[in-house]
Amino acid sequence: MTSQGRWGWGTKQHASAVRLAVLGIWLMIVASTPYEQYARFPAGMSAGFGLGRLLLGHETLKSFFFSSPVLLALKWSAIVSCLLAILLPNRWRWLTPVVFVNILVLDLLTKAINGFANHAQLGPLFVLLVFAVFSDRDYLPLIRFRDAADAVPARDPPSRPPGGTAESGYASVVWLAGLMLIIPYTYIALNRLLQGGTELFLGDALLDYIAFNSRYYSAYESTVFVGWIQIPWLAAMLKGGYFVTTLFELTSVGVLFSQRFRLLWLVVIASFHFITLVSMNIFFWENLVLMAVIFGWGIWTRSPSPMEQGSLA
Amino acid sequence: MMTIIGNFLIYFLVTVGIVLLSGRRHLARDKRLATVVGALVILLPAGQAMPRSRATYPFIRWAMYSSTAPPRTYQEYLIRDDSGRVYHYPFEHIAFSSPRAFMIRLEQLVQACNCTGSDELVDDVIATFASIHRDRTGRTVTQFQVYEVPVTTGSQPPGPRTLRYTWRPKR
Repeated sequence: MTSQGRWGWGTKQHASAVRLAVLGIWLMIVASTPYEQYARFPAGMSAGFGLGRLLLGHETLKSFFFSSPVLLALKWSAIVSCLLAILLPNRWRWLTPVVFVNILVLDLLTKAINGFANHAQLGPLFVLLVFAVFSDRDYLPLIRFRDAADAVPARDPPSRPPGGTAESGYASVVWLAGLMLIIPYTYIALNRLLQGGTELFLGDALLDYIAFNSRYYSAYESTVFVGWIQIPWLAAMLKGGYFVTTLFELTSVGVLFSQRFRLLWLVVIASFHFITLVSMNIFFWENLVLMAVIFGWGIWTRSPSPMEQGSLA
Repeated sequence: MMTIIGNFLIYFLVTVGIVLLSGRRHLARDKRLATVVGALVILLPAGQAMPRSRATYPFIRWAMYSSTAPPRTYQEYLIRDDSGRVYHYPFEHIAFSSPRAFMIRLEQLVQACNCTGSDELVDDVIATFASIHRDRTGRTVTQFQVYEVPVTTGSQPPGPRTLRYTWRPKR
């Protein structure tokens, strides 16, 4: 396989990298979250949240899931299964759906106790869902990075998605993972335009959001923009940037067609995430990692990716 | 109800457009992929159209910074420990990735109790925060106070704090 092929969009290497990235993100989140502490909170603090109502509908189930041994078992089984899914991608494929269910349960328990839909973790959750549903050999015949791995073991032949080639299975999975990232951005932008309209960009709403989030306690503790938003030209630039970012979010689907737009989109959206970190103490690092791997993959290669060729055909 | 249906239709059409524009060749040859995408094309706009995420999670409303009327107040959670020092409760001890979630939960509980202290549930929750803080830092929390502070713009100092709730350990 040529280096061009290796770095092409929707290739085996690309799908493997996205899978590795999303599993790595969840491994980090699960390992760093003290789920076992949730057992110490009073029962009255938790209530089923969304899908979690099915899980915690009965008091007995609630007591079971919010007990320290169960929370610890869920946490460690998620960590171990995540690690094994990363280390043994081809041998233990059934682990990816197990990792997803395990993480979904932990996520629903977290939401049940804090009652807050954390948008930062929804992108990684849906991308993990993609790899859980399409973890079998029909879609990802071989999950590896090395060129030597192109030779398929005789004992373990790859099958093909119905009507497609092995390579198109990878492309479909990467496409769906990308879709899970761009749809939320499109929704956010559309909602801003429908709900806030031009007043949102021409008025002081953004400056008020910055003042609010800078003062609210955060581990990042950045307050530098509280003073800066008083500078008229900087405030105007922030409002302009907010509008430009919203336009890029609205047209996110363009990343699936044009390599040039993809590069521009990555620069604008990544800058937006870093600016919100400094100005509002909000950082979607999970999205940044995923967008770098999904949309930044092979961006420096010149030829159109298989996906672009197909989409434009 | 009409707003929900109208919003659903808008987001549904946008989602269908994105999917068909970018993924026709993937969907045409694969039933499983088409089934999964078909379900998402219904569920994602449905979650976006509903006003409250509590009912539909993980299919929720993506509406960050869309309102022209941002919150006018914020909460401060100040603790005093056994050294006498007063500082913000480090909520990252409870959640690595979204500590703010627990701040909002405590705010909701304080608002719901409509009191300034001695609520059983709020006291138990704060006692747990204090206990976790002791485990993490070795310091005993001797007082936990929730303040409401008006947001002021720019470099002006924050508005006057209003004490909303006080917790002290039971002896």
